[in-house]
Amino acid sequence: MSRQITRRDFLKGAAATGAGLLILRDSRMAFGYPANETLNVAVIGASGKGDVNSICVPLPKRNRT
Amino acid sequence: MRSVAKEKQNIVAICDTRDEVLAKLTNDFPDAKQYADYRRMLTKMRKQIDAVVISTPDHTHAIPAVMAMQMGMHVYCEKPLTHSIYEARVLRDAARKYKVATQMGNQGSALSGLRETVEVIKSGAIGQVRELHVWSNRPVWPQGVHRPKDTPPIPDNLHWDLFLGPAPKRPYHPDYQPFNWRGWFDFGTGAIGDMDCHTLNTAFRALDLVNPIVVKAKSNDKTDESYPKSSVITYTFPQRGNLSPLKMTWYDGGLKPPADLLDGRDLPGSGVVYIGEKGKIYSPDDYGAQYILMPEADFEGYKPPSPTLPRSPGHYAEWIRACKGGEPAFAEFDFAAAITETLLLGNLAVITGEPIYWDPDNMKAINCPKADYWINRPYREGWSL
Repeated sequence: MSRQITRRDFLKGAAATGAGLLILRDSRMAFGYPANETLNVAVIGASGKGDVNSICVPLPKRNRT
Repeated sequence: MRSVAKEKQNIVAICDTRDEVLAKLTNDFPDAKQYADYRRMLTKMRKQIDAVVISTPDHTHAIPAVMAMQMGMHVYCEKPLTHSIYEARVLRDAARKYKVATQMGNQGSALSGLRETVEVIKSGAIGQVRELHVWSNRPVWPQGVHRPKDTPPIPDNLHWDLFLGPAPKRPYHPDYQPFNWRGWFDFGTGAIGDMDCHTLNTAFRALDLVNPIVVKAKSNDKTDESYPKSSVITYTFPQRGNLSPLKMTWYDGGLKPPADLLDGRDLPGSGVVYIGEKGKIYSPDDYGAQYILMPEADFEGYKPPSPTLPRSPGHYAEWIRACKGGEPAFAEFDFAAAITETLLLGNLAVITGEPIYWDPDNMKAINCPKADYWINRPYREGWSL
């Protein structure tokens, strides 16, 4: 029961409930990323226009909390 | 683009249907997990992934975009937003429902010149705009071609079935990928699909170019499976709020507006001309971010209006800022779906060869049953939105 609820779990759960909209608005604040936090990005289609090198630079692996 | 590199986001996974593409990225992104199937990637890594960047061929934008949004991930998707009008509306609705940050890859949206041009038009510098000409040097890949008859073996390093994705099954051939997919109905959206989100970007924002009454196309060398070598597509827009009815003409494949439109100037490979009551605006490239007011004598000493639109830190940077809770990006999916629907209506006229009298509320081309297939293209078994 100690499984951490991530922002994504929260969004998905909230969206599935009838009360979703109201909760979601607040969730954005509650789970908002600080401006200096790094996003974890996945790239789908890596050979074309969205050249991954132009989007992001590689960083050392970091531990997510 | 450079401002994005400064953002230093962390790439945790990369997906491509070609193993060689992934192999080339291993050195630069040693910690990124590699996948050929985005469904597997998103499912297995949903806890780690905050956001996805989609730059697959047009026919495989919608499925990963919706899947990611349903998982609460933010989405950056290349232009055009989708392959079909139905998909565009589904992505728009999903972005609203799941409240994620979205952005389409028409990166000219971030240019201050584009935003200034929008402000100039909206301020009434040339009065009501009743006529608009947009042209592009595309296609720069084969169009008006027939399905190849030979069936070479699928290369070992290509996941052909995943490339096809929701498209109807067909034998592998190098004519379809990695680059030439744009010319085929099943994978791409032709010249207007590649460029309209750029070239029409400014006009769309300034003039609210949604829901035309009718769209007609004249195509040259179209086949049953491939977009034409060149085309002229005309859109008739009704009165939109305070905006006068407007006729828009799109030209591609080397076709251009009449030369006298710009008082004898040579027209470059792509551009836009707005014809208003009090003058013309000419934007001489793909991005609509420069403007020349004509006749020039009438606009000597012209001062643009005070900015009403925010200026951008960069197209990707805007999206990343939105992912972190900032303002929505300028090409978020409400906008992206709307401009994509407008350009795909042009393709409906091209593909069916019939005038498209558009009924937006019912998402239907009136008296054109053969348009239905293209408005909501059926997916191959095993694929769904």
